[in-house]
Amino acid sequence: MNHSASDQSYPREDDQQRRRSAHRFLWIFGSCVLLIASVVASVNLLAYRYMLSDENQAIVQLLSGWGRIYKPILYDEIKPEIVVFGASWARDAFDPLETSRLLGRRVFNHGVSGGTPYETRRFADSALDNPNLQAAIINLNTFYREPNRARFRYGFDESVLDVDAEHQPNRFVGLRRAYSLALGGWAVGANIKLISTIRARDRGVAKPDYLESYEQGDLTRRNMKRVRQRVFPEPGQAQTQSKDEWVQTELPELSIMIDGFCDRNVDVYAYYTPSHGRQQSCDLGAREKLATLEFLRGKQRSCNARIHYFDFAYANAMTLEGVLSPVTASHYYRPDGHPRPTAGLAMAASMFDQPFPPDATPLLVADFGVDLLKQEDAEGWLLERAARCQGDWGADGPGAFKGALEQQ
Amino acid sequence: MVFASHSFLAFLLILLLGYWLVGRHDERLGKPLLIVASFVFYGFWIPAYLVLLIVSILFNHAIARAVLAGPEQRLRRALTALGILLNLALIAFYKYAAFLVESLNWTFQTGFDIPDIVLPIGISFFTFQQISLLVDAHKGRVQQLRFWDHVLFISFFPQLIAGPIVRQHDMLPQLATRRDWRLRADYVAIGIALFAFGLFKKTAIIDPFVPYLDVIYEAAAKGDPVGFVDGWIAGIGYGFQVYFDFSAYSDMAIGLGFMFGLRLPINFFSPYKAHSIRDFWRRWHISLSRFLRDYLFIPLGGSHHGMLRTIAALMATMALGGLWHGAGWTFVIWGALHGSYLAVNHLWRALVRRLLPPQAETRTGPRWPGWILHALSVVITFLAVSFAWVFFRAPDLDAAMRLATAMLGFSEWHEVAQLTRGIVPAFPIYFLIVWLMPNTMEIFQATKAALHVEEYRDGETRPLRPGWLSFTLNARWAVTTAAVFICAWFALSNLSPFIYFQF
Repeated sequence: MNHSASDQSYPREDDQQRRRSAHRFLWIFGSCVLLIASVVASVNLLAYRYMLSDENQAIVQLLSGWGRIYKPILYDEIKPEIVVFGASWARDAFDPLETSRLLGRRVFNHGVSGGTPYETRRFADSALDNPNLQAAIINLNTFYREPNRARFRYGFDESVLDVDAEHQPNRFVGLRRAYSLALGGWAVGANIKLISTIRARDRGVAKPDYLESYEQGDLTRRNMKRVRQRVFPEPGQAQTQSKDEWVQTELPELSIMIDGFCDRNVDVYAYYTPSHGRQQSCDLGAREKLATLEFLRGKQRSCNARIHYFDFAYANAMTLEGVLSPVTASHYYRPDGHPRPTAGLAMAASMFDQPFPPDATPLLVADFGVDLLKQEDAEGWLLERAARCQGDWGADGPGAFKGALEQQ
Repeated sequence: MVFASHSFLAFLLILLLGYWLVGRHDERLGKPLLIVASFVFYGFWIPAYLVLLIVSILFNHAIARAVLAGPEQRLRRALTALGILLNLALIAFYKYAAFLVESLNWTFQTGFDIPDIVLPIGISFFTFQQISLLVDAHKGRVQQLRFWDHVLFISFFPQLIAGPIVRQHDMLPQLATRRDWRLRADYVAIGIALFAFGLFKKTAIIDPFVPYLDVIYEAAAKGDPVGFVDGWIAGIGYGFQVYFDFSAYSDMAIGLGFMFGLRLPINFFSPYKAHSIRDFWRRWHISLSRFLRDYLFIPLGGSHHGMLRTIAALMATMALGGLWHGAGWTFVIWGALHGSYLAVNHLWRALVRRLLPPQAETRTGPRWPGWILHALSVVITFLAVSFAWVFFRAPDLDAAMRLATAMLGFSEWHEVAQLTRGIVPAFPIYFLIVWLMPNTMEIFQATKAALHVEEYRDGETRPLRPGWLSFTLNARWAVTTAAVFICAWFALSNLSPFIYFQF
């Protein structure tokens, strides 16, 4: 190659040594890339077979980090009757195997870490083309709180969903999914984590030690005194302020999502997470929940299917766990405060009118959510329970509840 | 087509294969194939705008030929002026029409409809290349201009849509004198390595953390309060984002060019190691800085007509440079901020020259006070640049002001969302890379893949020390490149496009 005179530093063409080195370099580079890609693809595709196995579903669906890609793909393979949507608060709460056993129908947990309203709606769009689908459980917290977040998070890939944002079928979905399953960055990480988790289970390790969702929070570490003083105040010490100053009234993504289910005759079970009293449950006042009630009532009027609305986020036997007597290994909460699958089972029992699991206390069974769209005085129910977090337990006072809570 | 995409990787693989095959048949066929491939690459986005690119090339070639052949100085000047004006009109229509109408409506309370024009990708880059060609032709700096060389000079796909802004004297001699257009194994190997490192910078180093920053800018755009800490996370974080993103693109462009035996100019040289704002602009987006210096700052008077004129020229150059990046007041303010930084730098240097004896001014080095001063200068420059970035990134002026006031401490303590802190653990790694590690141009200097690198190493032509940091065509670097490429490839997923694609 002959370059300009001013370009003296151009590499010389006749440098045979350089050419030989280059050939060797390309050969090694190409071999390495092909070898690594082949090994990774083989391992990933084998692992995918693992993922499809029924007995591994709890591990696959409860693992954090990679659900944005593989959950839509797995969902289409499994074609469940019931699907759960939401962020990690929902992902950690519903063990698909345990919930399926309780409800007698196949449950799929579509929750993902930090799931945004847009992502959740798009997963729902993609999930509609499933003839088996009968019910969708939607965590409302995903749509309300934390308005300042990105539309979608890293790893969310719309091209692996069945439909695009305008509900038109995506092109080359099969090809994109095959690529993502074999060579997507998520696949490598997910499979390493999946295999090590399955091995831990097979070694007989206890569930809380290998499955993050089952980890148990220490309810003695955080100061429960503040919650106790707020919910069960000494006479004359009741607080009156509510943190519920802001209410989101426009819920475009949730609206689109519910419309989609209504069109397909899929029942909707919308719920507020029973977060612990030291977290959100006692920060949510009545205004937001009343706004939700109105919103869902409006939706029900034009819906072919049935919409259900459950509020679990109030002072009850679950959300006040450890408030009166210290609990070192929480039954219902993970260390980060997310509800564990034990809480999910109680929620599923309440929502689908099934018997509560044997570990549920009578106090929880007696008062743990109602279908507010069927409730005659839903507003009154919501106001009464929201007031508990301000120490207002009505005419009878907290005595009976407090006593039962101490005994459970 | 975005470099960091599966479609581009497929395009590149097919092109390399096709290029190799036609090269076996005829050593001259590589050039037309590159032109066709570049048109396919450009037309992949909106095919209609390929017509615009071709018209721009035809028009500018006709003008440039007329200027080169024109016997009269006045005619040549008139033709050059006409060419520049029409190029500016093209960019003004596509890029600034909506901005102009919006500004008119706002200033005079008029109600003109804001035109909805889709910006042809890369128009700012190829228009500037055309202008520089016309000016150089007028000044007699173009030795030879053949039509197909002109076509490839403008349309060569690695630099077509986001630079580097290649000057005619960097590219035309390469095109004019080359006879053998076949692939060469050493060029391909080095090009692949540069491309892989660039891809890694984007897909593995920065893109996973971008959503954390978006949250802050979206919050500011919605009018939500932003606190001091979030403000600085936004400024510093975006500084890292735009650096890793654009320098990644430049590495990839240089690597792609070299695969086909063409050398593109250096575009970044560790800008955050700059110890002054002047030094920063010597290292940041080098091809644009040089263009602005040679075609705007110097014609406006440069630094040889007194301090006042110099400052005025600086402010005008930088404000227009800001406007080049985007049609919005935030970009103008970003440019003006840098103009004012440069003005302060000029004044400071004049003051130091007046107050200190010459030997005191030049006494810098590794000794204790010099080292501390240098580090302090680097940090101050970095913070000043980070402050300005919020104007570059913010979607509107209100959001930019909200962030800027927060960074200056004029806001209540407030956390936008816990999520925003997700990028902070990556900051130490980013600082390590931008402040302490050699850049890709230094690592690849011995390969001679990019033009003008020696100038940035103070004339140093020897490879980087220690030797293991310098890229060589050996087995160790082959395995490293493969590992880097695989990581980058696996991380390739629904990424944001390169920031500079929009300019």
